[in-house]
Amino acid sequence: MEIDESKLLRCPVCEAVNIDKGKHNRCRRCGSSIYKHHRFRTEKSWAYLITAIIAYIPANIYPMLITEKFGHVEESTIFGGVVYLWEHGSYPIALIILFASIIIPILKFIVLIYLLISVKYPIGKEKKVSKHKLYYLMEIIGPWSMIDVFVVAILAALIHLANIQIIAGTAATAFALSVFFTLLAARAFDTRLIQAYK
Amino acid sequence: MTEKILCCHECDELLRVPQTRKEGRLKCPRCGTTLLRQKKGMVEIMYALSIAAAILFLLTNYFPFLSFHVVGNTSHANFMTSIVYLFGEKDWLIGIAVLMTTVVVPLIRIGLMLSLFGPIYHGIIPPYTVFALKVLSHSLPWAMLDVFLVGVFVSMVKLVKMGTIIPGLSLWAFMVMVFVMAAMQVVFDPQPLWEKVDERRRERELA
Repeated sequence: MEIDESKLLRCPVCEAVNIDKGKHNRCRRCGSSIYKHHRFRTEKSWAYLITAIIAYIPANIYPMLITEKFGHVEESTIFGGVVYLWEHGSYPIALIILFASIIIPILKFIVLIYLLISVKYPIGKEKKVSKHKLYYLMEIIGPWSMIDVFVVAILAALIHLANIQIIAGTAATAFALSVFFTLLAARAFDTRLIQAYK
Repeated sequence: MTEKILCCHECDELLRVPQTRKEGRLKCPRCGTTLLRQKKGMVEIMYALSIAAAILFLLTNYFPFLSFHVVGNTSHANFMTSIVYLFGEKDWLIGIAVLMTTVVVPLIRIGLMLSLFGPIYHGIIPPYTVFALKVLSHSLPWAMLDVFLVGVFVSMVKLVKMGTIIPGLSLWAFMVMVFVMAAMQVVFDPQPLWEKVDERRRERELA
């Protein structure tokens, strides 16, 4: 049986190979819609990404942790927390937080922006496979930026004693939102575009 | 000889693979992604691991997680305490985020794995296989137990200077659960299950 290879579509959910039937394709096996040509190819991913970047700004300006010690209130931002840990000799923890809360989110923004631009404009033409790896890497390290939010949640739950109290600040909410939207942006990015715009 | 067509999920390279191929790893010739694992005993291992994960999940949520002592003061926390506390403080968004990523999504995943591999182990392909596999595929990035474990370690180190920290039984159960869930993710291979769904459909069409 001869099959026209250009008329084959891969289901993004179950990876079954489907034959292209025109406008609306549904996977023969799992019933998920397969979009051959997204009407909004990259716009959805852009929208989520921009939301994530906007949410990342208050996440860095507002305090992440508010510590009340004997009536004395102390507020620390993400970066302030890293500096504090570093100065007090907790180098590994400072590095973990630095990576999870600052380097990974910014790296994710840059990688996504690069991928979104590179599928529309001819940038990095020869590096087809490495772009897939870049996307894969970004998907793997993405959730790890949630560490700080979890730390804040655990500390806030454990430390509400009579004279010492830790409260989650505004930045924790903003940061959780930022991570959430970057995950959505990564999911919305159609990896097939990398191949289509070679 | 019948062939089946595969498509690499990373780079969309088309491959023709003989239908009779049964075991062993198959890598994409273009980008090197593993396409087929076809390990022997995948169903048995998955069944065992999902039972273990379910038991550990119960243990994690039943026993105390962490206790904290500072001069004269003690506070205990269960696994869910932080979530309850966040909701009490009206930090809805963080509360929901922690609840979803550490309780709801992992529980759904364990439940689906159990209800899939239980019947398949006994030779029945349940009617909800397609639904279960789809949910498992979509929910993967939202289960963050491993991230939460690192979060626990970081907060323990931060608290050590303030007072005494006593890890509870639940923390040990949780640590084992994270490893069991990671092992599940390594062993889990949906492709043979999708092929079983295909086979069943073909049989039905013939009948």
